[in-house]
Amino acid sequence: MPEGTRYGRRRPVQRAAAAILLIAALAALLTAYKPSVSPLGLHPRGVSLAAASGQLLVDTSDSELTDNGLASLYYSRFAGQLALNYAFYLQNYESTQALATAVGLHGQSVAASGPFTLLLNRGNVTPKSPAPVDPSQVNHAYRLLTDVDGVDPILSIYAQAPTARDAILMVDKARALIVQHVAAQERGDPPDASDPGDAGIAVLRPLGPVLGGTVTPNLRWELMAFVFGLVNVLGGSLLYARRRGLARKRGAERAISELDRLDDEPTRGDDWPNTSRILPWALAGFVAMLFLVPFDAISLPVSLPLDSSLDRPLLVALALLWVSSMLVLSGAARPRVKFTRVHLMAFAFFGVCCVGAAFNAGALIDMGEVSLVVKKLALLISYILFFVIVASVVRPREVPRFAALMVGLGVIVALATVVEYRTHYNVFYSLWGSVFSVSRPSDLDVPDSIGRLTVYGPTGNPLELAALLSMMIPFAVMGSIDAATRRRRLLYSLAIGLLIAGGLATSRKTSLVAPVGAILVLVAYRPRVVLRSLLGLTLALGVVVHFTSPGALGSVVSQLEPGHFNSVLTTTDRTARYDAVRPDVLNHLLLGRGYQSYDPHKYRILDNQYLDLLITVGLVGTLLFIGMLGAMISSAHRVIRGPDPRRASLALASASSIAVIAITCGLFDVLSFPHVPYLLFFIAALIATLREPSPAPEPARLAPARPAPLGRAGMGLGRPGTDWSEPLFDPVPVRSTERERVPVG
Amino acid sequence: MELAQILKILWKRKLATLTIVLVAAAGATAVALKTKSVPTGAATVQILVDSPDSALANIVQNTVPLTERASVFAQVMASQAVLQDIAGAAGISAAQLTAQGPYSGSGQPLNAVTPSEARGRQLISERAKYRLTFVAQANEPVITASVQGPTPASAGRLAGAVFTGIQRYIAGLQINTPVQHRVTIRQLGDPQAGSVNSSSRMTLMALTIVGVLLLGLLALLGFDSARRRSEPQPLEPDFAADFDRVVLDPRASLPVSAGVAGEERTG
Repeated sequence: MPEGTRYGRRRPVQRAAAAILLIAALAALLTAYKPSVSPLGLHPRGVSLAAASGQLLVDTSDSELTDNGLASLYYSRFAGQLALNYAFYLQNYESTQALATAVGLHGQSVAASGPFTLLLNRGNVTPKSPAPVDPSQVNHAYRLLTDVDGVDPILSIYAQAPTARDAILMVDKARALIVQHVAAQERGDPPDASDPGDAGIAVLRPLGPVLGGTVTPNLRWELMAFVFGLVNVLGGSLLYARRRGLARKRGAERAISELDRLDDEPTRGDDWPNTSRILPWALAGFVAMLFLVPFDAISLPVSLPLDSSLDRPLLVALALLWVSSMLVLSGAARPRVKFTRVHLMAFAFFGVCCVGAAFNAGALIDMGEVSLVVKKLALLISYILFFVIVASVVRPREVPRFAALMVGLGVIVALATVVEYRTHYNVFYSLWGSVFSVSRPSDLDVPDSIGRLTVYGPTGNPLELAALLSMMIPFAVMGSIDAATRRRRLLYSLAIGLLIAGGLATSRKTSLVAPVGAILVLVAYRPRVVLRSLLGLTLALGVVVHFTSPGALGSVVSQLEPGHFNSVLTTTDRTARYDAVRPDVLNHLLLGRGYQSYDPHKYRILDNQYLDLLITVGLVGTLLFIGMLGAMISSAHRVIRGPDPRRASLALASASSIAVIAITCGLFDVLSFPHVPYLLFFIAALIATLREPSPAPEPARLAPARPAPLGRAGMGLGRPGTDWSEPLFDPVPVRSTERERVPVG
Repeated sequence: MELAQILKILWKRKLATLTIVLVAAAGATAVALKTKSVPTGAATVQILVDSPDSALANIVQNTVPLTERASVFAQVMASQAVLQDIAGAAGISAAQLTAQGPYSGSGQPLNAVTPSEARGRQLISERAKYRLTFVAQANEPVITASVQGPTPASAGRLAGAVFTGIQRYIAGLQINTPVQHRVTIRQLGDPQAGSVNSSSRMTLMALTIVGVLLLGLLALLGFDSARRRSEPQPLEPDFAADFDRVVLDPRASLPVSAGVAGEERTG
């Protein structure tokens, strides 16, 4: 091609790239600065956040605190109560207006609240009564917080304002206001030296100067960098999609359409469970552990680096086996590592987590949180390693069998959960407790703050259990739809009922919200088939749920009722956190304070994975995490729309399971509990596998050299003589399933 | 993209790979320099809140008022008023000191789930070099002060200054108090100092290397992959055969055969 022509083709791209850069720079500038025409210039936007604090000691004129001779009740009772009165005094209209005037907000008032230490966890004891409208406009950018513990005579005053100067001014003014108020009261009723009752006249002593500063010193730059990067990424993606997108899409569609059909069973398959390959068996064992063992509560009697929970040595053994297979085996038996978009997003997420921790290294060391970050990063890389291994080992024809295995294990967990709900006996913790040293949760099978039984199953949290069971529902639904015989359909329908009943037995709202999300995804792709199947099952499911977990459905539904939903502690606690963590989010907006360094025991329980990520890995990390979930779903999307109905069904169930996680991430900190993340990455690996062709059957001449397929009877797992070559859950349907047209996309 | 292909790309782009490795090393060095002054020292000291004739040695004296005062003193000691005196006694700037939470370990009783306004102050205090925690014992008039500082020696020095600081503050309040009634502060033994966080720097340096390497190599692979995709795709073999004898004549609007053009396609 002539040089001039090539240059001519490139020039529009360069022009577009330059335009994107210009738009990104402009957007970044406008995020942080406000332009004005007259006078011409740029003015900084109020994006910063500052805080200040000061304290007051409630004492007597001759300092009872330091006088042991004055053994009155002053310090033990009254001074603390007086401090509480002062805390409330500073929240009245007059004080909040005076504080607003002090920082130049004329005709307005500052927001005031507190005390939080004394009134902690009492938010829902007193019903809220209608309050009169504040006569002045409350400026919520300026806030005052007063705090006392109700015992000690110390009043702490905090302020939050856009600038450090205003925050310090507010605390100073508040201290002055209360001192003036007390002095005015004493002037009105001067102390009588002869009256012993007047000996304890209160004196307010400021405890040092007011200190303050900017909480978000780099916020402006971080915001600008984020907007600049985001616009560039979006613009670049659009440009790339315009040039290559259509061709890529067609290429991907062609690749999917060329995949072999899972229904066409090869004559000499070497697929799990009819295989002598050890790795698929090891994976099946690991998956069984995820469902049946409370492994994060088991401490091994050996000391291992970082953590000695049961999954670590098993994962290390799995990884060693995998590496050995890569080195020793050849041909189809060798694990085949293929780098997909999910790999890319997962590793990029891990990389950002590492870099984010390094950026906040000083504070992490100061606060003694480095070991926590390293421990959590080790857990994250364990999930990713597990994903890489599964994606390289599992074959497309094995996916239906693993799906059936998961449903089977899910049903066992559901049954055990129902048993726990009805008898308060946790099968998993009890049985494994007789083998290993298991640390039982302190609240296992006891009612929580709103009277719900804390059912754990094999997991470390009832929400985790609800999520785990919800993840299995799409596989059971699709299994029921694709079932070839009435018997199998019945089995899968029973599995759906038990999975729902098990979830509801946890009495968590998640047990209803998450499956609904999953069903919605299924309905979005296959509206007629899924709705017809579920409507047909509704009555049967209702009966199963009612008889297995009586009262559970009503309990969960009542929590979701309109009048109740916003008032239960579990909801109000969640919403209260959004404001409380604002300084933490804004303090390190881009890369966060360090992956999972926001220790719930030390700071606060967030019950929201996205919020936790926003604090610990910043906007970049959170977007990458969402991108990772998106990559998993988008990988499944093409297969769902591909020509093979078997692959499509499995991909749809997998995508729906991922959607469950995307939903539950908003309801609890998913990554803190290992069962569900391991399962998430396992299902993501199944999706990656479904996009690959099945390996060609080994040539017939190699067959004698191979060991005979390892039947389950041969492993002592079943009755002798049973033909185990037929899968238990019938992964290959006999009935031809005509797929419904997809209305989306 | 398969593993072998990834390794081939990285080998092909040796210079870029080497640059990423160097950037990772530079990042680790930067982290090492940034964390040079992080606290590696810790110290503790105990303070007894007592009376002039020692309540602990007097069987008839009630220690409950002293225990109640110890709880108040623990909070007063965490205020700027006393911290300034402690800083003065230790010979360091008060701005380098903080007694803000959140607390873990011995300071946990002082911890509370903080709203936005109070949390902001805690975050500002995270940058302080020296951290102090004061915890009053539940049934005894004893306050335990824990200090974290850049070195064990400096942490020990600051712990030693705690007694002087609180003593100085109390003396200011006791001007009119009869001597026999004065609350008396006593230090229980010398401060105990030691090292902490010794391996944190190395760990964070390793994390930097891993993170930068990973992100750099992913970017390199992504760039290479995008570039290969944007290159013209080779024709499928049967189409390519048809085009073998055809060249483009830049002067003509239609392709002409090689024979007519009188020249061979070179590639």
